[in-house]
Amino acid sequence: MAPTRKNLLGLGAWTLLMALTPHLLTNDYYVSTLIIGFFNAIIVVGLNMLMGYAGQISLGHGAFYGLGAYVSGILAATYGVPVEAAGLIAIIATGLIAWGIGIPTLKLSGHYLAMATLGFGVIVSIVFNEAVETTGGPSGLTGIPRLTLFGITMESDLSYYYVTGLALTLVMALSLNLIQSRLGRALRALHTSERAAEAVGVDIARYKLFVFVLSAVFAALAGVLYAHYLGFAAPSSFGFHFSVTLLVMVVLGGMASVWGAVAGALFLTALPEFLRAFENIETVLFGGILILGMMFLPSGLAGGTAKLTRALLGRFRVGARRV
Amino acid sequence: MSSLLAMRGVTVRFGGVVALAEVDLDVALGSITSIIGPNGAGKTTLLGVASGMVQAAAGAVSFLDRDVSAAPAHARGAAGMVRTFQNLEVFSNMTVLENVMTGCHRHVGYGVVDCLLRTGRFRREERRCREHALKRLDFVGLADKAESRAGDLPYGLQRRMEIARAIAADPTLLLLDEPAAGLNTRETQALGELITAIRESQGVTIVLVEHDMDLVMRISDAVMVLKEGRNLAVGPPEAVQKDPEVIKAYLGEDDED
Ligand SMILES: Nc1ncnc2c1ncn2[C@@H]1O[C@H](COP(=O)(O)OP(=O)(O)OP(=O)(O)O)[C@@H](O)[C@H]1O
Ligand SMILES: [Mg+2]
Repeated sequence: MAPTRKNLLGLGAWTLLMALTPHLLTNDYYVSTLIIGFFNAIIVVGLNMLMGYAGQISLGHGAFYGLGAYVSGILAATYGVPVEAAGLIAIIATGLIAWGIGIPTLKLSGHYLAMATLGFGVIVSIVFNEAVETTGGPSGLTGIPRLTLFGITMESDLSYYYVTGLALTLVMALSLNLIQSRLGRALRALHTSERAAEAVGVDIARYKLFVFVLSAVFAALAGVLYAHYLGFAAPSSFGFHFSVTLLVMVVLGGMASVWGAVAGALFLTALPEFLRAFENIETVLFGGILILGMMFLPSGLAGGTAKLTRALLGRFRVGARRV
Repeated sequence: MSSLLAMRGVTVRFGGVVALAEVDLDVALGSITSIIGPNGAGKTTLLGVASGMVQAAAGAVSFLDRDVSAAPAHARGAAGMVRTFQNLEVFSNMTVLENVMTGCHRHVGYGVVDCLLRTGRFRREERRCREHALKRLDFVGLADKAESRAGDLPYGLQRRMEIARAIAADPTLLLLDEPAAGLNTRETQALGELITAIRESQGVTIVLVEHDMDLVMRISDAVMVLKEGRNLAVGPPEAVQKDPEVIKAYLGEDDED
């Protein structure tokens, strides 16, 4: 199957690039920026499946990210649960919560999911802030132990970089597989016409629910990795503002493209770091770049790249014919 | 055996409008049954009730001898009752082949884990689905358009593609809502042959909602006439054509145009 081979090639190139990058960077600080970028990319790949493929909007993925971080962090820091188990519990619990939210809302057509997740995000924020005994309140949860896998603690940033990069690659591979299947076709179909999808037997509520839960699970995975990297979690990192940033990453990257999602997440994570040099006009530049992106790349980084490649190939072919 | 599809006393209201009033419909297994009637007679609404997409205020629908009145639309699709739409519902962002492969949905035999991991079963089933879809595309004469974006196809071909998508589901019952709308005489002729061929080669029972009287009279085994949401007449095409009520209420109107 040709598309699969293309995916395999893409993933191979990506893995190589990912593995080499830290050795090309001169500043260790960039490695930690990339790690944060990978967390965001894991969330955005999932959110992109929900938005770009199934056409459902969530305003609560910041909260799922936060739940992953807090649940795992609290279990490990306060109750001494081994990190692997704490992370697993956090991911499963977040998935179950998403399922509970999705069941009543995704049966209805319309933007009920956006509203429900918005409300959910607010509630989660309140809990993070107010349950001071458990969460540490507004000043945050501290003392979260570093990630340990199979008895090895990922002390160095470089080892953490590879663990996170591998997790992202796995998330990408699973998503690519999912998209090129009966399930992916069903998602894209119901995005265009729910009635026509139902007509050929697609249980649309079930598929929306599945992709919603999956995207929440990805967000929770990113949250777990975050908590055991920074050793710290504060409510402000997981609020409405961050949920919206995630949506911007999806749109900027390009709806309905796994590669676009990764590009959008990495670009928007790195951009503020580069703009830091322009101290005073940082925010203005950030906004300006976003607006330019939307104007000139209506189908996002992914769509723009595809178009550019086609244009270049076209020119190349024309050139070749002339010779 | 009783009818493949039986609708009894179906009543539908949209606000104050009574779209259907105690309508009955019987579709015999293996038949081509047409529903005709003036604009707004309730034909599309009747297909909507049959396929579970329109809520009826009263009445019952049974399919394959089972009462499906409470079954959701997707369950009826999955049980083999598949419909097309009067206003095209094409998955425009997908290729023609992907559209038709979506039609295979109900008989692709793998689960989520199979597709996450691309198991052997996944590959086998996916290959089978692809070949099946290509066969159906070939059947409607669209094999050469498999890789085109569905939204880029001309209107007439989008209609054909919708039929290919529906028959890719291997339906027991196919509900076609004005498949000839917007087609020219030659295309309509070809469509008639296609519909007959679907019945002959795949043994599919067909319900056809259509305004084109020549087409209806040529290929139908039974014709049901609806007017203002009520059954006006039902029977073989020759009998319905001669029915004074029908001539007065419906065919007569046509002559005046
Ligand atoms: N969703 C709806 N909301 C309100 N009224 C509706 C709706 N759908 C149909 N109707 C009304 O119900 C009646 C029957 O409509 P229907 O579409 O079933 O007719 P039809 O026989 O298919 O007509 P046509 O030949 O024009 O397709 C019409 O009066 C129509 O205006
Ligand atoms: Mg109609």
